Amino acid sequence: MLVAVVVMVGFGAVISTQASATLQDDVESDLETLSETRTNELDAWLGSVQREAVLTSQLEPVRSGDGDAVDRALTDQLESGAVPPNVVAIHYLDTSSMVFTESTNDEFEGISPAEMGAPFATDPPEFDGPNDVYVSEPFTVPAVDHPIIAVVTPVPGVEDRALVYMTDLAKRSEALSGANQDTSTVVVNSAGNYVAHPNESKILTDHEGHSMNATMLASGQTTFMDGGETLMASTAMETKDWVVMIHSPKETAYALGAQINSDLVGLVLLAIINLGLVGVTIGSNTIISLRRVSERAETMADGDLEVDLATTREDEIGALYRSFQDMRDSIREKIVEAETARSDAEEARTEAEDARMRAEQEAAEMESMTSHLESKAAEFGDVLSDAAAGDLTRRVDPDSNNESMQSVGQSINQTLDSLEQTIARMKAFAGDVSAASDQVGTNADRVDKASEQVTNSIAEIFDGTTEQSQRLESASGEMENLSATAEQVASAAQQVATTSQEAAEVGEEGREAAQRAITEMSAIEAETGETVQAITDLDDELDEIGQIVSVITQIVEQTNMLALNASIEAAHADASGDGFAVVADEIKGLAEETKEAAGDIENRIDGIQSQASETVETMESTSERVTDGVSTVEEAIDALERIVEHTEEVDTGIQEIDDATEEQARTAQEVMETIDELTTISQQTATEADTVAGAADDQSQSIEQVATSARELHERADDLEQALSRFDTRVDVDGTGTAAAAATDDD
Amino acid sequence: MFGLTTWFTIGTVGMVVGTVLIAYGVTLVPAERRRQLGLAAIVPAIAAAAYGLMALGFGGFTTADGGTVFIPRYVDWLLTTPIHVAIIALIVGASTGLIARLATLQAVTIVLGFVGATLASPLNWVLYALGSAVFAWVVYLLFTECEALAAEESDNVAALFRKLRSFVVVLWLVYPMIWVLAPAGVGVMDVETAALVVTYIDVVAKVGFGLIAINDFASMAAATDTTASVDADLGDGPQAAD
Repeated sequence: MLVAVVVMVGFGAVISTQASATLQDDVESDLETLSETRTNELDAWLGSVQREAVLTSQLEPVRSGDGDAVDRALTDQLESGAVPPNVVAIHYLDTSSMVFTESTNDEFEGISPAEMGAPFATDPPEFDGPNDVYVSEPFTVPAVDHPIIAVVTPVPGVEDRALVYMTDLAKRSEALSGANQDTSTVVVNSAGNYVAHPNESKILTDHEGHSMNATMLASGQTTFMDGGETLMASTAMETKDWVVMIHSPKETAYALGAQINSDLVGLVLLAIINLGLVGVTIGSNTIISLRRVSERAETMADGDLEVDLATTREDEIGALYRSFQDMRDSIREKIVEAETARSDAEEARTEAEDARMRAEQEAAEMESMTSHLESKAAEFGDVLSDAAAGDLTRRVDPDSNNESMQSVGQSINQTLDSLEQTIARMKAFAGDVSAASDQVGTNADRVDKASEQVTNSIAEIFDGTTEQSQRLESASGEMENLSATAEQVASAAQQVATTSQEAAEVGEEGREAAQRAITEMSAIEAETGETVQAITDLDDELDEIGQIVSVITQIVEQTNMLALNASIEAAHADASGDGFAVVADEIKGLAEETKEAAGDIENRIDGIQSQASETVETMESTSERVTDGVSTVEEAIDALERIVEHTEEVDTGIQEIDDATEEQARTAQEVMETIDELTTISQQTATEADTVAGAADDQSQSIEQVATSARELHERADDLEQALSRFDTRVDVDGTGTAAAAATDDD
Repeated sequence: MFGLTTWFTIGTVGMVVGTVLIAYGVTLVPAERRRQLGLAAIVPAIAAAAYGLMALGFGGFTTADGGTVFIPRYVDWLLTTPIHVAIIALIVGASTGLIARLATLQAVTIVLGFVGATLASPLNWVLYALGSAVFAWVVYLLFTECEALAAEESDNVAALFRKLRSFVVVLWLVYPMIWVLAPAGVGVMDVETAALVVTYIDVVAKVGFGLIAINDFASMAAATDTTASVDADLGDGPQAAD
């Protein structure tokens, strides 16, 4: 809202500024135009007055100089309206006497303008020619009541005569200013006096205010001035050095701008008022409505669903209200539904309560029934307990409001009846059994004793047989040992025999090996002899080589000597013997080398000879040792032959032992078989005895069991009798009871 | 073409129509509120008389600095603006003392404005400042003491109070602006334009005030009726559910 106001004010200010500026320009140009127009008008008027004066001066009657004719012509001229406006009189001036001789205004005839102070008379102008015109400055004369401008022109053809056009400046001023009331037109001459002014009295007075005058402007030029209170446009005249000024009060000139500004301000204010109005009514209405809606909503939120949401508005606020109303209604429905559901639940709860009550009632009934049943059961229990304790005479009272219980009571009574009878019968039967079992016990004892004696005899037989069997078994064991030992001996002898045979074979092999060794040794001995012979031969050969080498050595020494002689000869000879000397030197060198080689060979032969003699010695000692070895091997052969003979003797002995042992083993086997048979027989005897003993034992035990059973039967019968005695039975059940009682008494 | 007389005539017509409208509106509101609204109807009636006089050319008064002051207008304001302030205070049930204080201060504002308008610069500005200060005091009272009273009233009444208070405060703030811009102040606006603007704002403020008050009271009464009927409808609902 505030922004809208500011925008409006700003926009108004812009419009105002623009309009004012345009308006000022317009006003300025208007004033300038007006000023120029007025100047042109004034120029035209003054020009026309001058032209008219010249034209009139050239009229025939005027040039005639005849007084009446001039007067008539001037009067006609003036009255015919041919003169420009504001020309009030035309005078005919005698410039020599300075008197108006004729005039359109008869009052002026004969008057001297100089006496009246007219400037054209007091200071007569000089004319350059007949068409020259003089325009006076404004002046006043006593004879007329308005300021005057006089236009003077000489009359051609007549001496010292001139025409004077008198103009009414006041009227002219009125004509200038009259067109526009907002502006005032003044004319100022070069002397700074008003030539024309709307206020007649100001004419010819000094121009006030600014120093504008004709000197400041070139002819026809226009200028504009802002004089504070007033605006002014000035234009210099062309026909005269006067300035026409248009004054316009600023207030009036700019009245349109002020009006526009005023209207703009008014418009802005109206807009502000309307904005305020809209803001206050619509704005506050909306705010109030929204606040109201929000309060209602809060009330609703606090749980009050009865809040008033009715509205007749059709706008968005109304829609909001209706939305809230819908929401409220829907919430209400939900609450109603919830309450219905709650009441349903309560109903269900009440039903459940009733059901529970009924159940409790039933439970109470059940309880009374139960207690009745319990008391009944207790009663039944008592009777049954008594029955269990032995009193079978009691009966229950079967009367009950429960049919089942009643039938149970009746059943109990029937059962007790049956039980009483059964017990009575059992008592009688127990007595009978007891008597019978007693007799069985006695007989069994006797049989038992007899069988015990049989058992003892059989045990003795068994013991004897068992001992015999054991002894036979030990004999058999010993025989088995004997047999085993003999077999071991036999096998050991066999082993010895085998070993001795192997030894004999080895001895034979040894002898044969020794025989081969002797042969080999003899061969070695022979080869050694041959080798010795060969070495001796070698020695001889070497000796011969030594002799040859000695010969070579002698030859070399002789050669050397020859070479020496040759070199001496060469030295004796002159230069031609030089080549000989060289050969001699060469020979000498070769001889020396040969001598060295021969020496070397000699040394090596000496080494070989000494080695050969060592070898011979070694060979000889080897030969001796081989001879010794042969004799030793021959001794070994003899020893081995003796071993073989001994071994064969051992083998024979062992074979004999082996045969004896085998026979012994065979005999032991036969003894053992016999013993085994004996053992089997005695074992069978023992087994038989054992079987008899077991049978006797079994018999004894059976009899014992019979006796025990009889005793137990007797005891049971007694127990039964005793047990049955707990039960009181009515004697008058039936006849059997009496018999049973009698039987019991018998025992 | 359009001049002071035109604006004043239009103002007169506007005020007469407004008076008729408000007077008719008064018959629509509940009886207990008629007295307050009767006052609201008197306001445009007084203004209509003042504008009638001015349209007929009476009451124009040329001041020291050449401006024109219309005496009937200030008389109108002297009577009507305290009435408006009093109505606003009455709506929230202000005490007689408070109402008297507000009305007096408002009357003083007008008197200072009138005297200021007749005087030349700078004395007129002094009185203008004094008048503005007194008006600010009125506004202050409306926003403090009266607001406190409004808080205790019902929502509808408080809302109407706030609406009328905003209406008066916002529109009346335009008057000092006009005063400043018109010949009484800087004189940017001429007498005719100022008269047009003042006429417009007068009609709007006086008639609008009355119409807003009537509208709200009438809708309040209608809402009360509607609420009652809605309550009646809703009252059956939950009982039926039970």
